[in-house]
Amino acid sequence: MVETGRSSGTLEELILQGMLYGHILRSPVAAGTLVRINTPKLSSAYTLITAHDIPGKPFLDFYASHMPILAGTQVHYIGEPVALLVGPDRTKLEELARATEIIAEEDEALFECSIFNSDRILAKKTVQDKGIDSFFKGDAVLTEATYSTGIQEHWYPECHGALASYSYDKMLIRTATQWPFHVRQAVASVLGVSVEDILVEPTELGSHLDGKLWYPSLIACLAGLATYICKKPVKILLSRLEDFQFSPKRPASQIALRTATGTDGELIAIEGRPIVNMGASGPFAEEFISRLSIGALGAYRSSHRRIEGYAVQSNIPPAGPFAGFGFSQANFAIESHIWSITDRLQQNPLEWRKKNALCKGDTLLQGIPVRDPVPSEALLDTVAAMSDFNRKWSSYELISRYHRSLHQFPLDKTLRGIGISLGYQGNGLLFEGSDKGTFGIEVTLEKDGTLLIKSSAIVSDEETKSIWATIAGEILGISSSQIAFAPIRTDEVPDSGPSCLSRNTTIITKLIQRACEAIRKQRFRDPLPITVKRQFRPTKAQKDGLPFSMLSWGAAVVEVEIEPITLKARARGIWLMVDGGKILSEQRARISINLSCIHALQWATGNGLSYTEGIISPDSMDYYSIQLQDNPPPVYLEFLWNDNEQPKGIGELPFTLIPGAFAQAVSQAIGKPIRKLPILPSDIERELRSREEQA
Amino acid sequence: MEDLHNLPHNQVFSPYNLAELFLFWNKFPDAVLFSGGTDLLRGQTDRLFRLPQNLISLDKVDELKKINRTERYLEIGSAVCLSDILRLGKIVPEALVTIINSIGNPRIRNIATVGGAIRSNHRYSDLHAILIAQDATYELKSAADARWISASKFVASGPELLQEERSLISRIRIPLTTWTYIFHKKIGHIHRDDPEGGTFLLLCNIDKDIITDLRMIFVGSAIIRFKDMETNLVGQSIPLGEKNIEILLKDCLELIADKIPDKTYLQNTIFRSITAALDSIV
Amino acid sequence: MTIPFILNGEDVVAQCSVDKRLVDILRDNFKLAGTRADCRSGLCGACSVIFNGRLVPSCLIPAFKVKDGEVITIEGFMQTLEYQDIISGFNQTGFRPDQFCATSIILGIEALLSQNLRPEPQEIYTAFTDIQCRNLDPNQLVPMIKSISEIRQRRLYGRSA
Repeated sequence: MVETGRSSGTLEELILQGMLYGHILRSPVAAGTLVRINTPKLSSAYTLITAHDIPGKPFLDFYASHMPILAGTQVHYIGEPVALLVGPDRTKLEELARATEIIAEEDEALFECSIFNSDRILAKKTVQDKGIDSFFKGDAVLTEATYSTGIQEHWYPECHGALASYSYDKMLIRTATQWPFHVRQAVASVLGVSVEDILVEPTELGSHLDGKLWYPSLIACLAGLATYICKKPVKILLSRLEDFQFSPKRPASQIALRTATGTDGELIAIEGRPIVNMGASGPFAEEFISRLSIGALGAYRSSHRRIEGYAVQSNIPPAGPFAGFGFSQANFAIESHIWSITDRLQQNPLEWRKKNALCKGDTLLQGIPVRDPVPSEALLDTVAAMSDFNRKWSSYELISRYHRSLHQFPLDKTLRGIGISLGYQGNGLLFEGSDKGTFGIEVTLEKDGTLLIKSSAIVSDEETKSIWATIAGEILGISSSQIAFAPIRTDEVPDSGPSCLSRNTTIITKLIQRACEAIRKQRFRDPLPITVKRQFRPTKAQKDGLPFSMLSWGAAVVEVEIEPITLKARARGIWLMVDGGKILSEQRARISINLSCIHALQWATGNGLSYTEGIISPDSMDYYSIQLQDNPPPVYLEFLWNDNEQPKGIGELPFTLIPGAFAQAVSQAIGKPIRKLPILPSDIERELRSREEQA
Repeated sequence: MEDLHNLPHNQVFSPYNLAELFLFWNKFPDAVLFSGGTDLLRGQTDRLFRLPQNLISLDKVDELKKINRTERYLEIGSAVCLSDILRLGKIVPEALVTIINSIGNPRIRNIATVGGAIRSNHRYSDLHAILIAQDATYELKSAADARWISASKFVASGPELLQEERSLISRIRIPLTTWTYIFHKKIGHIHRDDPEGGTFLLLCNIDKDIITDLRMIFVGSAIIRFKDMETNLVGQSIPLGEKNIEILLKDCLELIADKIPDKTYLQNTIFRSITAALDSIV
Repeated sequence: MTIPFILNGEDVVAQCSVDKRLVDILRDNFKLAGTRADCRSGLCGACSVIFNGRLVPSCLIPAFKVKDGEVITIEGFMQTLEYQDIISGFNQTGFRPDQFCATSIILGIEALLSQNLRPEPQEIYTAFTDIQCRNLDPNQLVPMIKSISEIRQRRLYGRSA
């Protein structure tokens, strides 16, 4: 496989002659009116840029909201960019920033979302079922609870940043982004120029966990604005602390669930009220609330469903996706909820899931059909066998119930539990307006027999390209060494849409396949070079809001032990069974899933990162680790091999499956439901003490 | 010798011995001693450090880096890195090894010094637990004087003494007492001085089923020495009588609640640590 | 301040203020980009260098401490046989550090193995505390380091344990 040109490398490495640096000045208040920015006297080498200097549209446009590039008069969160200081020396910039006074009249700020008025609703999802209330009466077993999840930090390998410079008559933006054409559109809009005048060249992305979908566009706009004004290259690179405090996080959520089940365990009706805190101007609010609402029903069938979901605005920094758009939060809620159901009914949670799992022909929320067979029984039975689930669950259940009968759990002994979960990952589209258009790729078979693939799809590892090269090579009968990928630059490759929701695996792979098949048909008929473009056109259903093009499935078991004394919960083992369709690279799939397992566990057990009075305290960074504090549990992973199916994205499955299974295991160990993430030792202690007090 | 009359933005003096150090210090009484620097530089994330106007670097003062060992003591210079203590091998008390390994990460332990940890301005370093429990003593040296102070007295009044007398900790002397039984529990983040956590340590000697010596201490945002428990248990035979323990535990709980109010989880965890430690003395 | 020191085996001099961080001296004065300035708190491992024989966070070393010292960065370490052992171990076990974390992982391995050529799993986990790398699967660490250890032992002693 040959690259026809180097990628830009990392943003930190890029130094241009005459380059200036940008330092963002930020709002000190969570809500209010910006009065004045008092900087010390600036020499001619230093420039202060404010919202008044923006020549074009002063905000980033999203479907349900727009986000100011620089706050004009109103500020909406602590840390909101209010101005940009630009100059040649970063140390001097820091000094100037420290000496700058930003004066704002503070208004009342709202940080929480448990109570809100309609003004704060960014997006809503309502699915009604008129007759549902009748099912919550009578002999049905009712279970009702609210589940909450905390924020999570991405900790990218490289902080957010962008470098803007002029390249002849165009502006060149270099930034690590999952969506180069979004950056192009945003910068063009802010500068009031045509998109043709902006070139975007992505730099090395690394592991992004979906955090570099839209935020790079904001930073790119600031860098572009600075270059436009100063007429010199400008680089903005957030410090780690800035990134930690102010860049988008996985949003906090609260999901209220109420279910009615028959005494035999059949899920009759389910009602959910998910609320997600999107922060200020939360982009993709619709996306979030849609997936949260769908996910709140889990992988289970019920005839009667009612959802009322809200994406709510607040005065904290805007939230963003983290390995998906809210599915993980929702699945934690439903999987933990099932623990309460099966605990009440004293049913084996494995059997309950097999009984109630979705099948082909069932529908998800809003009539979204499940078109393909659902291998729930195979997944559940296999993962249960791998983990010896039934035997362990029965033993732990016996012990737990015994302790419950005494109203006391021995805190000087290790408590153990085991949990199981079933779920799916929806691969598909963002259905905010900017993604409902067509997007595609271009493939050319050159005269010399080499193949050039052009796409703006960003991959975080070279193996994806190897896979595409292998597919192309197999179809056209050429070796991988003759296949090249055009370096990504927005004037040289077509718009392939955002690289998220496993589109690289699902959609882009398919487009490459189709393009190569078309070339194969033409190649001995038409003269070379042959160029084929293939586009993905959303179906009407997708345009109308169907979020998934396909589902991948998984089941997980997590065994937990709770350390005596500290009451820290740690995983003893994780077992996963995944149906990802055709697995293009087993090695890569294993690496990806194993890593995601650790990240999912860290979310479930790690430090409780949170906004306090609208800001993440800088000290929090000292105590935050993306690694587990304890030794890692072994992860046992198997795939349901199915080469006849399309390849599907599976990277989000651990986030969907593990936190819920972990929480159930802890619930079994302590005999009380766990309803929040992360699960801290103090939470476990509180639940155990409340049991004793109730007794 | 540095040119004392040349005054750049920051002055850094690098004495070669304690005599020179005190000479500089007398001339510049506001000078701050700098060894590993992990405490002083903590929380600073700007490109340039914000350093005190006058600094005295201890890097070249060999007297502060010596390690001596006798049959009864291990003596460590205050500028010895935490990781260098670990490299001494089996002579280092087991509890000290465990506690050092829970401070920061290996890279930080290669620059953080034992003297710096003792003098930390943040939460009390976990090191205090083993040093106090093991009856360590610190040599405080000033230009004119040198004296030894116990680790427990140091936490009470040491920092003020150092300031008043313009002295520094030059050596730490740790008795190489061996213990029949050691119980250690780190509470909270296992690699940080977590303000919501700390370290609990129990050291116990048993001879012919009689407790001959007992030390019990918690170090976190406060230092709690369970003196009453220690006094009452020494001389007791094991297994320990339940009724007696219950009363002592009740007193412990009151002491903990008094020293660490409003931190229920921490209070309870310390209490559980004590109970577990006592239960396992068999 | 004029700071003479040994950098990757060569005598060099840096001109900078006493309060400049070693990581910035390496990057700005000597254009050595392999050492990255990330958290600036000693907590992520990205700025790891070998300073006076020890693995340290160069973001916590002020310029005045560097004087007359010896610094080995990843660029210097890459010229050594020890580095080759590590790369061979990566290849054998299929581990591929990304370019952001490579320095912290490679120098972390070197620091561990130079202390103890046959570390136990617990020592390995302890050595990699606070390496903030999203691509580091801790379950891969033990087999990977074992492999590197065997390669090094064969190189040094003609055999592994």
